[in-house]
Formats: sequence, C-alpha cells, structure tokens
Amino acid sequence: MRSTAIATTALALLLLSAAPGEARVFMAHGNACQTDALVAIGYDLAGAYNSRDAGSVARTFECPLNITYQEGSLTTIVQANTVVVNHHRTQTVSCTLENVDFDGGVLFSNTVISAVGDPHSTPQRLFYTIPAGTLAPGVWRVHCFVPPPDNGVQSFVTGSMLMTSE
Amino acid sequence: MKRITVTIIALSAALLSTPALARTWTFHGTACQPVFPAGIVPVPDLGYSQFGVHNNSTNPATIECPLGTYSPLSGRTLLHAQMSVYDRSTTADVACELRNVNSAGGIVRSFSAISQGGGPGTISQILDFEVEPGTPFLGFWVLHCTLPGSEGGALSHVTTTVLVTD
Repeated sequence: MRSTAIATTALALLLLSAAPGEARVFMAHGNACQTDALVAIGYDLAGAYNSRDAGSVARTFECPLNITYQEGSLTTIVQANTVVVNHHRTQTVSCTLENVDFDGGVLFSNTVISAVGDPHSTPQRLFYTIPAGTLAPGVWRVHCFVPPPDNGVQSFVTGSMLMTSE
Repeated sequence: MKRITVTIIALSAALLSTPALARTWTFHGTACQPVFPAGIVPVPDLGYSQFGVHNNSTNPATIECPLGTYSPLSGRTLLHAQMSVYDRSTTADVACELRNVNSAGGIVRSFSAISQGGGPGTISQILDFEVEPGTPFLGFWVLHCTLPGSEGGALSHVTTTVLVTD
C-alpha cells in the first residue's frame, strides 16, 4: 500500500511538472519602431516620436512585436496592449495590432485609439480586444498613426506588450 | 501490487524521456534597418508594411534585421531557419545571410539563402537556410540581406523570418 502511494505521488508530481508552462510576456520598446521617412522619427526613453515640425502630417510607425511559441501547441494570446503618450490637443494616436502569415497576409487585426491629449498628458495604456482562443502562431506587429508635434510637443509610442498562454 | 508499481515507474520514465516540443521564433521585416557607410547620400530609401521591409529605390539596398532571442542555460540548438521574401527583380535576387554573432561582434557562423528568378508581380518565395545539425542557439542572431532595386515600380521585400529550436 505504501509503495503504491509513493509511486502514485511520484507520478502525480511528474504529470504536474509536464503540464504546460506559465504565461509568457513579450515586450517591445517603441525604439524598435520605424517609419518610411528616416527624418520623421525620433527616439528617446519614452519611445518613438513623430519629429516633424508642427503643422505637418501624422506618420505611421511600424513596430515589430516578435514572439516565440511551442511548435504544434495551441498557444493563445491572453492580452496585448500598447502604451502611447498623446500630446496633441485635437488628434489621437491610433494603433493596430496585427498577426500576419509567413507571406505578410493579415490573419488578425484590432485597432485601439487614444484620447486627445494636451501638453501635460500622461501615458495611456490601450488594450486590444483579443477574442478568447486567438492563436499565437504567425508573426505579430503593431502599426501606429502618430500625430505631428502640437505647439512643439511630440507624441510617442512608448511600447507594446503581448502575453501568451505559455 | 508489484505490477502496478512497475507500470507507474515505466510510465514515469516514459514521461521523463519525452522530448520537449520544438519552439518557433517569429520575426517581422519591420525590424530591419538600412546598412550604409557614413556620409553616403542619399541614404537607402526603405519602406515598411505588413509585408515587412521593402526597397523604394531603384538601387539595391543592404539591410540588417536583429533577431531578438533568449537562451536558457540548458542550451537549445537551432533546428531550422527559413524566411519569406518577394523578389520583384528580373536582374537581381534577394540574397540573405543568417549570422550568429558573438558579443564582440564577430561572426561565429553564417548560413546563406538566395531567391530564384523573380520579377514584377511574382508571389512570395520561401528561402531555407541549410542549418548545420547541432548548431548552438547562443549569442546574437542577425539577418543580413541585399534587396534588389525597384523595377518598374515593383518592390522587393523581406517579409518574415522563422527560427525553430529544440
């Protein structure tokens, strides 16, 4: 009886240790973002900002969000968000999270929009709507539409976070 | 009783010997940066989209793409590496080198791949790197590519890269 109990306990411990891993969080600082015109983007600790002069147009920033997952598993996306700082008084920062296939075709897309800001605005964390069961495989990216400086104050994409189930 | 114990021990041993699932690492072409000597004017004219990085210029462009990874102390090995590109040139190819770089910036090993054919309107190509068995998944990984110049407005792209480790 005792040996059975010990063996059963050992098996239970093994099964537990073989259970799927904990959630993983992938972070991408805004300094990884790029844009078509090299002169229109600047970087500092707060991330990437539109460095065009006041009165110019908003720019699209392309931000890779690289992840890893187990092959053949059913790894899902648990949560994703992007932090922005919007200092523009009339325009918003909008960001789209996309999952693309190997050839660049869009598999999943969700857009979030900031509130309009002011020169003293604090960071806003914008949460994407992720349907339950959204699978992680594919290549993830974020692209944001960032307003130009407003009265000399720049708006930022500070970074993005994506959490997977393992 | 003895039979139960033996069965449980055998099952436990089987669980212990089950190989871990392979892990996939995904990278989008929006992480790629232009490479050019200081003082070169004009600088490479790259653009970014869901299809990764593309070359807007009629001149070829050299790019480098950091492939951010982490290495657990147990040590993984690289099993497989491939990428997706669009070669829209009839006269040049998308040529890439997957480089494993040490902390001093030296290339430890590299694997090459090149597109075939190509031209305006052609679909994506998957390029496989011939990875040596047992390649340690350590140090830094960088993708170094040459993108053909645009041809009749058709753009060549480096879209995605996938590394598979054990």
